[in-house]
Amino acid sequence: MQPFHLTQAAPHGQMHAAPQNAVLQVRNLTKVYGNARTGVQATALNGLNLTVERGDFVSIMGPSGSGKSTLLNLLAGLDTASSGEIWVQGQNMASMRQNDLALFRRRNLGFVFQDFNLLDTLTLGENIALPLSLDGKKNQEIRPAVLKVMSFLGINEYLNRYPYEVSGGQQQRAAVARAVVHNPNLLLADEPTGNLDSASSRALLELFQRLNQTIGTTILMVTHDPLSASYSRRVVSIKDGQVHSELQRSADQQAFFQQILNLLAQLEGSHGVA
Amino acid sequence: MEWRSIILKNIRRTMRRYLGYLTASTLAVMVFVLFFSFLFHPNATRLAQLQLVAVVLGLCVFIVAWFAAFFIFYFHATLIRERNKEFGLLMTLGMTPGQIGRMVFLESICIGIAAILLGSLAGLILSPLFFALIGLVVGLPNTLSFAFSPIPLTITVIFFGIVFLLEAAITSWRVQRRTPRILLLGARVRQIPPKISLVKVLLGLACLAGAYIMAIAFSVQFLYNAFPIVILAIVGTFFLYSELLVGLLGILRRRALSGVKLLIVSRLSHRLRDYARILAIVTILNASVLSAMGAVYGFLQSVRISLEQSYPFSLQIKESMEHPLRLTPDQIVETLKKEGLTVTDQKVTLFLTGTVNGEATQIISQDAYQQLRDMALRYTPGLDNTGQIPASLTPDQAYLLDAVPFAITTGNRGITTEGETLTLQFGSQKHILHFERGEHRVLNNPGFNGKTIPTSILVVNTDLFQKLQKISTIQQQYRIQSYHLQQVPDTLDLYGLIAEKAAEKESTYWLDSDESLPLMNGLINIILVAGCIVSGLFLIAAGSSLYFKLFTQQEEDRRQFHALSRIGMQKREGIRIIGIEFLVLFFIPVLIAIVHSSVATLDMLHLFLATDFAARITWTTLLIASLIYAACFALYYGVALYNYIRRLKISTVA
Repeated sequence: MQPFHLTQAAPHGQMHAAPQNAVLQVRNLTKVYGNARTGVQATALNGLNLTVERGDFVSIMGPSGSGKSTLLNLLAGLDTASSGEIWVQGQNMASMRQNDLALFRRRNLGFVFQDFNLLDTLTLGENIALPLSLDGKKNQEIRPAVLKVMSFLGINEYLNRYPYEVSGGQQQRAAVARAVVHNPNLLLADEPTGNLDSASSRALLELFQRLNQTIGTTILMVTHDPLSASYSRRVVSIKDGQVHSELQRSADQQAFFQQILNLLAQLEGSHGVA
Repeated sequence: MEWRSIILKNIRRTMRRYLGYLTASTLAVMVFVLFFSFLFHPNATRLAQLQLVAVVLGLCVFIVAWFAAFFIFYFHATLIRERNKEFGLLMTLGMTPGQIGRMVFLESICIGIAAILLGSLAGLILSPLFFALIGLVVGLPNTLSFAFSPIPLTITVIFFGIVFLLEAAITSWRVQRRTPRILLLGARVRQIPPKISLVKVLLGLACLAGAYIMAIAFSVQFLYNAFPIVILAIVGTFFLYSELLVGLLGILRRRALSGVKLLIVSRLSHRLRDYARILAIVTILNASVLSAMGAVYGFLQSVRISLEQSYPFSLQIKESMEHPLRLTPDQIVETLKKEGLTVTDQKVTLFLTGTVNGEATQIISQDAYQQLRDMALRYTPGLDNTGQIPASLTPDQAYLLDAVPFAITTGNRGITTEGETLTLQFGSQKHILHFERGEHRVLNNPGFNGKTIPTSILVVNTDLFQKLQKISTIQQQYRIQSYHLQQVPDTLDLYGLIAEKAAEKESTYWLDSDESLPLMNGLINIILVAGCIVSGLFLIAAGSSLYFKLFTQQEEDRRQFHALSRIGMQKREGIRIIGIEFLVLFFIPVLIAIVHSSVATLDMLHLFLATDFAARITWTTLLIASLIYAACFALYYGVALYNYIRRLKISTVA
């Protein structure tokens, strides 16, 4: 695991490279929830396939209950699949044991949650340092990496502040900093703008774009919001536990936004919500 | 920012959340050290007055040990559950279950060490004060010196060390077994509306009814049913909260309620279900304190008062006229004066012995009775609490004083009589007398000198007494010397003094003084002191566990009230909702505890066949203890409400 480097090459041109460049490959992923008491079973994911290549910025959209959160939980290794495979960096997460999964998450994944999930007992700097310190890095290595990522995200002056001493937007930036400080292969974001006002949301999404374009961070973001999705390069919509359609950004953001709105109208229309 | 320093800092800052837990554990350790230090004090077993104290404190140590072990396991498990999200996050970031387990273990050990160190230190610092207090309450002439012994500290460290170590190992093992998803998403899981189960409602009612019936109707089998009663009461109380009260709130909800009332009722039904376990535990803790303080202390207090009333005179000497003392009453007064005692009053009266309904009885004249009664009342006005003294007796009337008039238990009546008359047999004479039964003290409780003396007293008409006196033999004649002395020092051995200075070898006499009273006073005081300390510990534990449990829901409430304020809830309404909710959560356990302890008190009064007199004092004490307890909880309530509202920041979102 390498600490945060600003100089890493931006693989913008490699977006459509060969499948072996894939950071994430999901094959026939199925998740069935069963209620032992009532005996009722619900299929959240039904043979889903998805590939995310290095340097991609993918938004996952879909109506409520389509399986977005389940997919994210499985990708994060927080839940186990009923069947199917999840390959991240050539390793199958489905076959990993609890301890290996923890080490894998530590080195390969970064997380941004809707409700930030910073530890109130630690300063922003310490929260951000967690993934590196967890991996046994020494202070000499941790501190510069934390400072670098904080200044990249514009929060370096809050190094020693506690989460409750800063705004929601700044907390979310700190959460992003924590998610990328160890240069993960894949950054997973779960409705990251859900608790932010519009200005903070915009700033955060621009930050994601900058991370993606400047450093080449691979991002997979689950969102409801079409505007948030328009910041990404690709939108994958899922419905009834399967990939419904995909949109590739080809023109400017405004046009992409319009395309997403159309997709949603189509999705929700067929979902009976329109 | 290295792992070790971050984790240590996390532990340090987490300690703030653990303040209530740490305080209660520290206090438990402190009480343990204090009580144990006394038990190992060199004088504890040497001085007679202190042996009883040692027994009381030994029992208290036993209670504190059980309580501490339970409390440490339970309270920490609750705190750990509230940190699920934190552990889930750390696991998501890549902490292995083993690392989480080690962190929790380390934390638990740190808290344990802090509690042991602080508690032992506080115990050591306070023990001279504690010893002085014990010396004071048992009336030791000299201050009990502070004597350091490493044994109490060693025992405390070993006992609490094992408890904390076991607790740390079990807690960390349990945390390791949770998955990050459950930990992380647990907080977000929607609350299921509480549904009641009729079976559990009936089970709860049956448990409570069973416990109450066993306590009230079968008090005599206390040894066998005490444990089942406690278990039934715990189970019944739990279901009372989780099912019965939730069910009642559910019925309330069915009625059309206005906005705020609806919110209060619906939030409360969720809270009661979530809090059922802690409320049941707090109730049982409260009930233990109230029963202990109210019932036991009240009961002992009534024992003390009855003892005090059993000795209306500082000193009473009954002597047989056949083998009297060497000294006359006046010479005895001189002897007492020489010992530095001031005799403020004295009276010499005669009595005879005869039989009433076949049982040996002391017979005194109404004049003598009246003189003794007047003297007794002069110095113990409270004695006159049992009705009117008969104005005058005709020759065919009598007044029968029972053997143990101021008993705290009923049942032990002296002479058994049937109908309205009794038969007085004196030599060859037989008198049929109409009689009244009474409980007026004119004699001290009889002492024992190897020879028996009748304990019942028959007061007869003075003329009749004189007639009897004329025909009496010397063996039937006795003299009573009654003295009122100013402050008899505890150390003075009156019995030894009279035996040495006033008695012949063949003298037959009984010396009745209230020598057991100082011992009883000491015992009651020490029970009060130890009881207050242990009760205080229980009270702090009960109040704190509720207080800190309430604060764990703050984040959720902040979100809920933020949403409510957006749809127009006023600050005043928000405060009302929280205020009523807290009021119920703090005071329901007190109310139910009062009911439980009232039943326990009834049980105890039945068990000891307590008289109305003892019962009155016991109930009064329970009432006072309940009021003090409610006041302490009101304080907790006030502080909790103020802090909660302040931190909820309802005003800023309204």
